[in-house]
Parts: sequence; C-alpha cells; structure tokens
Amino acid sequence: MDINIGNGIIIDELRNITIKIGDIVDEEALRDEEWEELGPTPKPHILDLRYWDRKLLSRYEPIYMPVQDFCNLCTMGPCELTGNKEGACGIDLRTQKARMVTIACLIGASAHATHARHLVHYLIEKFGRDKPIDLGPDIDIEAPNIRLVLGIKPKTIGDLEKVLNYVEQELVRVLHTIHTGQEEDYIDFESKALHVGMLDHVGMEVADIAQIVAFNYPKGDPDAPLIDVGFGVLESEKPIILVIGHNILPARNIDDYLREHGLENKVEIAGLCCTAIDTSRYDPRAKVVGTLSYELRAIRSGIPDVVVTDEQCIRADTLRECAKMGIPLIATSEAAARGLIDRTEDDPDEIVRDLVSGNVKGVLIRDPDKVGEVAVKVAMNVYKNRKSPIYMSDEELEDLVDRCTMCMNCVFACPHNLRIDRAMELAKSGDYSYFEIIEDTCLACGRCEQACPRNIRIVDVIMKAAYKHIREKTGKMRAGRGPIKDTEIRKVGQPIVMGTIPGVIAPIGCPNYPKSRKEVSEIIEEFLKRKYIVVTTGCHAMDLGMYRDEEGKSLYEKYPGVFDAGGLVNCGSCVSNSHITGAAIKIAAIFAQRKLRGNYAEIADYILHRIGAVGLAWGPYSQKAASIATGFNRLGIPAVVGPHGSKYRRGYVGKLWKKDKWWVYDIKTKKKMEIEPCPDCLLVVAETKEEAIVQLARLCLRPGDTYMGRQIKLTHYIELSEKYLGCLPDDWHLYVRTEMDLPTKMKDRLLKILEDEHGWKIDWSKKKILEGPIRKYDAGFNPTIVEHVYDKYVR
Amino acid sequence: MKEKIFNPEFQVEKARKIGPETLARILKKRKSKSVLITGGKLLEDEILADLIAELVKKSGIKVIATGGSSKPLIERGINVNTCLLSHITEKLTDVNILIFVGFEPYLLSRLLSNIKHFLNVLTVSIDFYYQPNAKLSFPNCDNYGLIETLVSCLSDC
Ligand code: SF4
Ligand code: SF4
Ligand code: SF4
Repeated sequence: MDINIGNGIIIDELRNITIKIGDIVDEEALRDEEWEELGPTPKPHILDLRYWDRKLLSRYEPIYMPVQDFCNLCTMGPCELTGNKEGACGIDLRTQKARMVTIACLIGASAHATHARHLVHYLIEKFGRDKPIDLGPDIDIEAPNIRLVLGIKPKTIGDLEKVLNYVEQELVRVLHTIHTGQEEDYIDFESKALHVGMLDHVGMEVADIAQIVAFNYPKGDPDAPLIDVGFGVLESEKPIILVIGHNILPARNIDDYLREHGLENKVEIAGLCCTAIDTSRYDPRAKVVGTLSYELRAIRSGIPDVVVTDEQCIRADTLRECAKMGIPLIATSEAAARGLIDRTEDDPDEIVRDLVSGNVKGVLIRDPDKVGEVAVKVAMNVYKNRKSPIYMSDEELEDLVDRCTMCMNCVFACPHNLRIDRAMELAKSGDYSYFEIIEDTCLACGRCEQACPRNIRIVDVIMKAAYKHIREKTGKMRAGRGPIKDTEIRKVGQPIVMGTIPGVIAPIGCPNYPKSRKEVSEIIEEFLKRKYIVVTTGCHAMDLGMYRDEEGKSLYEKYPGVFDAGGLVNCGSCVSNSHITGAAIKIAAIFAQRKLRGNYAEIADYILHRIGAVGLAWGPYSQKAASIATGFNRLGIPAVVGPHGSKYRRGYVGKLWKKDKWWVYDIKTKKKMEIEPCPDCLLVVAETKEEAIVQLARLCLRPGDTYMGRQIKLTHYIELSEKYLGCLPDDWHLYVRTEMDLPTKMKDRLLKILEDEHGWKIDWSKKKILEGPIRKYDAGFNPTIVEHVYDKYVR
Repeated sequence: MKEKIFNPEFQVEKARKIGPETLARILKKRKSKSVLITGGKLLEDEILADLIAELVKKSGIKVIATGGSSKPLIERGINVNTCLLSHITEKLTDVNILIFVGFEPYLLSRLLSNIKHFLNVLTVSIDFYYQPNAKLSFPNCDNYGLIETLVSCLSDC
C-alpha cells in the first residue's frame, strides 16, 4: 500500500488499482451534476479515438516530403532511409517522418500547456482556486473544447488545474511512444499527432479562459477597442519598454505598476508577438510593434529603453543583440533564462542600478510582480541617456553598400533567397528602392549576415534604406475579443451549416510568409468582400492591421468585429485559437443540439461534413502552428499552409480517383452511399496567394450543404478560379448534385460543359440534369462516417 | 554562379547535374511520356512565362500548371491542365518524366523529396537553383540562359 497525503490518498492494492481520493471526490462532484449525457470518450487516452483517426486518415492520406534522407535519433544510427528504406531499429522513412511530425506537435502543444500551467498557477495564488469562470451573460458554453474532450464543465480557475493534469499526462504518454523501438505503422504515429493536436486546443483554451477571467479582457466583445499596430509605434517621445514573447504575466505587472504610480502616460509599453496582443487586451493603450520578424529590427533600432522577454518565439541571440545596442534585458521565464544570473530575491533598486549603469547586461527575475517595478525604473533612467541615429548614418549606409562584392553568399543563406546582391548593386548607383521590396518579404532572421564574408550588417542596411517605407506600415488592429458568443452562434449556425454563409476562413499563425506581408490582407479581403466570416489570431491578426487602403483605413476599420457574414473577428493571441475550434464545436451544440460531453468523434464528424470552416496558416514556422493545425484536422477542419509549411514534411490529401474512399452512412435513407469528395484535403500547401484563395474557397464545400448553400459556394469557387487561375477549376463538376446547385448566372454555360465534356444527360427544355452526378441531392441528407453515431440516430 | 546548394539539406542521394542539350535529347525520345509542371513564379516573372510558353509551343509537351501559373500560360495561348498542388498526383497517369519549372526553391525541394522517396519516376528540375532531390537538375544559374538554350535546342524537336 502506498499512501500519499499531499494530493489525496493513493492506495495501491494487489489488484493494481490506484485510487486517488482527492481527485475522486472532485470527479464525483462533477459527475453528480449530470449536466449532459456522457459520451463514449471522456478524457480519451491515446488509443481511444484511434478509430476516428483511422477513418480520417483512410480518406486523407498522409503524404511525406522529408527534409532529411536519414534518421539520427539514437546511436544505432545515423540510418539512411532513402527510398523508404528501414533503419537499424526497423523503422521505415514514412513512419520516421510521422514520428517527427508527432514530435513537432508535442513541442507545440507542450508550449501552450506549460504557458497555461504558468498562468493558472499564478492566478490561483493571486485570486484563489474559487475564482469563477464567468464569460458574461452571452456565453454559456464557457469551454467547448474542455467539455468535448474531458466531459467536464469547468466552473472555477481551480477546475482548470485538473484539465491541465489530464493534458500533461497525455502529452507525456505520447512522448513516450517516440522512443526508439515503438510504433511501426505510420498511421499510428499520425493518430498520436492528431491526439496531441486535440490536446493542444484544450491547453490553449485553459490558458485563454484563465487570462480572460482573471484580467478582465474583452469577453467576446465585437467592438473591442482598436489598437495601434506597426513598426511606427516605436517612434515615441517617451521611454519605451519592449515586451517580447507569449506570456502576459510580466507585461501585465509592468502595466499595473505604471497605473499604480500614475506613470501610464509617461512610459510606453510596446510588444512583439502574442505578449503584445495580450497586453493590448489588458490595456488598449499598449502598442503592438508586430510579429517575430520585427524582433531584430526593433532591438537594432536602439529605440527600446529596456527589453523584457518571457517565453516562446524569442530570438536566441536577444541578449547579445540587446547588449550590442546597450539595451538592458530582463528575462522572466524558466524557458528562456538566457544565461543570466537569477536576481529574483534581490532588492529592486539594486537590480535597477546594475542594469542602468551597464554593470550587467541583463538579469533573470522570476517574480512577475517584481519585473513591473524594475522594468519601469530602468526604462525611465535609460531614456534620459538616449542618443544616436536609428540603425546607422547615411555615410555608414553608403560605406556598407560599397563593401559588397555581390558574391551572393547571402542569397543562398536567405530562406527566401532574396536578391540582396541586386539591391546592393543598385544602391551603389544611388537607387535604394529595391531594399523596400526586400524589406516587405524579409523576416529579419539574420542568416544573410552570418554568411556574408564582408561582415555587412545586412538587416540594418535593409532597414535604414527602407525606413520611411516601414514606418508607413502602421495601422489599427482590433483587440483580441476572446470567444465567440453563444448568441452569435445562434444567429449564424444555421446559415453556416446550410452554406448560405459560404464559409469561415481562419487566418492564424506565424509570419514566415513566402512574399510580402501584405498578401495576407489581400487574401483575406477577397473573402470579406464575399461575405465569408473571417476569424483570426496571433501574427496574422497583427499583419491584417498593418496595411491601409487609399482612405487610410485598415481592414479592422473597414469590416465589423462580429462573427457574422463579412465580419473580421480577432480572437486574440496563439492560445485564442481554441476559440476557433470552440466556435465550430458550439455550432454543433447550439444549432444542431448535439451533445458535447465526452463526445469527440460525433462532433468532429458533424463538423467535417457540415461546417465549412478552413484554417489558413500563410506563414507557418513554429511547432505550435503544427499542433494547432493538427488539432483543427482532428476536429474535421482543413487547413491550407503557405509554401514554407511544406517543411512540416507532411500533408493530408485525399485522392479524388479513389472512389471507395468517398462514402458516408446516410441516417435518413439508412444507406451507405458514395458522396462528392469534399472537403478533399485536411492539410495542404499552396504556393501562391492565388492558389491559396482558390483552395480556401474550395475547401469550404461540405456534403451537408443545402442546394442554396452549394450554389453560393460554387459561385465563389468558380469565380475565384476564373479570376486567379484563368479558367474553370478542374473538379467543379464533382460537386454538382442537381441543377439547383449551379450558379444561376453561369447555369447554361455550365450545363453545356457538363453535357459536352463530362457526358451528363441534360433535359434542355427544363434545364434539368437527368444523369451524371455522383449522388442526387436530398434535403434530409444526414451523413456520418461513425458507426456509433449512425446507430444512435437511425430509427 | 556559386556551386552552393540553396537552403542546404542533408541528402544522401543527390541529383545529377545536366545541361539543356541532354534534356533536349531526352525529350526528343520520350516526349509523350513527359510532362512539364509549372509553379507560381510564372505569375511574377514575365520573361520566364514567355520562355516557358515558347518552350511548350516548340516541344508540344503536356503542361500541368500549379500555383496559378495557368493564368499567364493561358494568356499566352497555351493549353494547360490547371491544377492545385493538392491535385497534382491525379494528373500523373501515363507519364514517367516530370520536368519542374517556376517554383519557390524550398517548396520544389519538398515536392521532389516526396517523389524521390515514394514514387518511381524520373524528375528533372530546370529551375534557377540546383535541386538535389531531383534525379536530374540544371546547375545553379541566375539568368535565363539555360532555359533559353533548352528552347533553342528544342526547335528541331
Ligand atoms: S531511431 Fe531507428 S532509424 Fe533512427 S537512428 Fe535509431 S536505429 Fe536508426
Ligand atoms: S554576402 Fe555580403 S558581400 Fe556577398 S552579396 Fe551578400 S551582402 Fe554582398
Ligand atoms: S534577414 Fe532577411 S534578407 Fe537576410 S536572410 Fe533573413 S530573410 Fe533573407
């Protein structure tokens, strides 16, 4: 018998039964209150949803695009796996790549779960376990992912701890399966990746709910305030504290300190990445500089008076770069201590003295409350001494340009192979305009500088030459509003499922775009004009605010923040992605009255067949983006990624010609039947914005569309294909079930093509299709691919 | 131009470098089994689009146009098979030589890697940057020279 009093009592009997009394009491309490019938998979373990994954993956086959031909994860290797050979442990290349994808998802989901853990731990200390989760009168389904996956309804911040216990346990279980000598079927690794993606959305939901209720962020407010966004916000006559990362805690305490000391109008907080987004949810005066691609630029500008880092997506040379510019750095996270001495217990004034005098380049302070005071005092003292031109003088720029020998080492090192040599060549004759084009695509990653034999500070040259241009890219972003309200879902649930709102497009993720940052806005405006709903988060949410039209308006000023046709909804930071899956889950619950509790496969199956939502990660880079997208996929939501997303190494792509893969059970007619292949991919790469636009419109099609919905969706798909690809799409006919599905304006032309090119029989007197479609349209069509769902509803 | 590999990767088997003359000879013999797959760079590079249109007219090779590259080719009077990247494998029946042009180099490298490991067809890259994951690849060349030579070699195709 084993007794553990700390967290309840554990009695370990011979029969291998482990009972944790502390948790039992809580779970019983939660169970007692039978708020909803319990579905088949509450708190699913690794294999519990494998049957659902195998259904998905049999349709949406994983395809792999390895970056390496070998594996070197253990010392029996490196093993060459070219041509799907097996390594010393017996694993083949395909399975090894599925294993790598699972690792990437684990990294991403762990980042969010740990972020959530930090927040919840801190908030319990500050506000107590019993702080209620109250998202306002319009939000009853407070945590759709948690309800769906765990089968519980969290009522307090304390309940969120239990959710995290489950998530962390599952993540470790999956991590264990990565060890050499485990799975031999790539589909089993993919199932694990999907499991991790699902867990990720639970972890994100915990993090965002916790911070919304504790810090009183907007609670689904479509009119959340407009925030200044763009590099130009750095130009200020006040001391500036630059906060970087993803965890609001230090930045929030800086903000509190400023307010408590009446300094809120004397010192500015500007942020990069999601910390910036979340700080502006807390205080709309906070400024958002931009995404990851502005980190080096912001530091090298020399403008910030102090830099405060927390966790995730922060450059690993931040301390070195800050030191070069004489900017003191305060690290605050266990995840990124940056080699600094831990000064958490020291007197704040002593730390301030050391940082301002330059005695130390940076410090680690683990107590977010202390960071507030130190950061503000340092910024105010350092500001007094600010001097020197931004990036460099005009003479130095000329000198650096003259040094270039056009060797192209930088071009080969650059992830976008930007032609810096050409820009340098033009600049030698006084024309700096090519740098503006480069600036728009450049990630400021600095790889070019590492390669340059002439030691040219290429990032600074680009910034100096394009400075006027970049300052102009300053606009407005609507502050992250958090979840979608139940009242909004009630209004749009039906039109989304019918298809009369043609789709929900979700631009999310990082800024590793293939070309100009402006392309995200161009893609998205195409859909806003066509009355799709757009829901965004993270870096995409920021970049959508940076470009203004001729009247000086950014997209957030042109389109309302409602979750309705033509609305542009910013949910918030990375962890707010859970509200996008949350909205899809809520449609199933509120509009279709499906039970959520522990009922994952049924809800995912519903979403896959009826809710035309598609993610767009146009510049994916991080492992978090991989796990977020994979979580979308398990829930039946496809995602389109930009070309850099091919480096995630795998897609989920259905094959149109494999007719036996495109079937459903129809609950109405009690038949297993063939269906049109839509959506036909769950994860797919698009090379250009033109291709992405057409792909997004296409992936909004769902078998459950009514004829009115299908007609609208096909109209957009065909119009966009003709506009961007120059012709009709190659597969449009597959989605026609009846002449009523055809876009009215193009009906005659399309009927003719169906007859001439596809051999369909048409009754021209009635303009009716007599023969040809994969299936006939039936208004009561009720598709599912899950047997237990079929059994449940069939009468 | 540099003998470097763009975005260096870690391939055990690397493409054999070939010149336009060799490819022209292959095409002469096996045109009916070949297909030219074009990528999105044709949308931004008029000269490349012109050259590819000429190449197609002279050789009569089939074209699968991805990434929106169908538009500039259709505008130049070329009959193409328009295709999203996700549908590319649907179009590869009856061909066993795939020639790629006009792609983001890092994306093409991924597509070629998939084919190298999991399909048994001959891949050729005629893009500006050497593509190690192809079976055959033009070397690095930062101008249109190699493609121009290919077009002129194909005149008597
Ligand atoms: S894990 Fe397997 S394939 Fe990888 S290095 Fe070890 S033995 Fe080789
Ligand atoms: S590596 Fe340096 S010297 Fe060479 S082209 Fe680039 S900037 Fe010029
Ligand atoms: S900093 Fe910009 S130009 Fe330099 S390698 Fe990175 S993306 Fe290319």
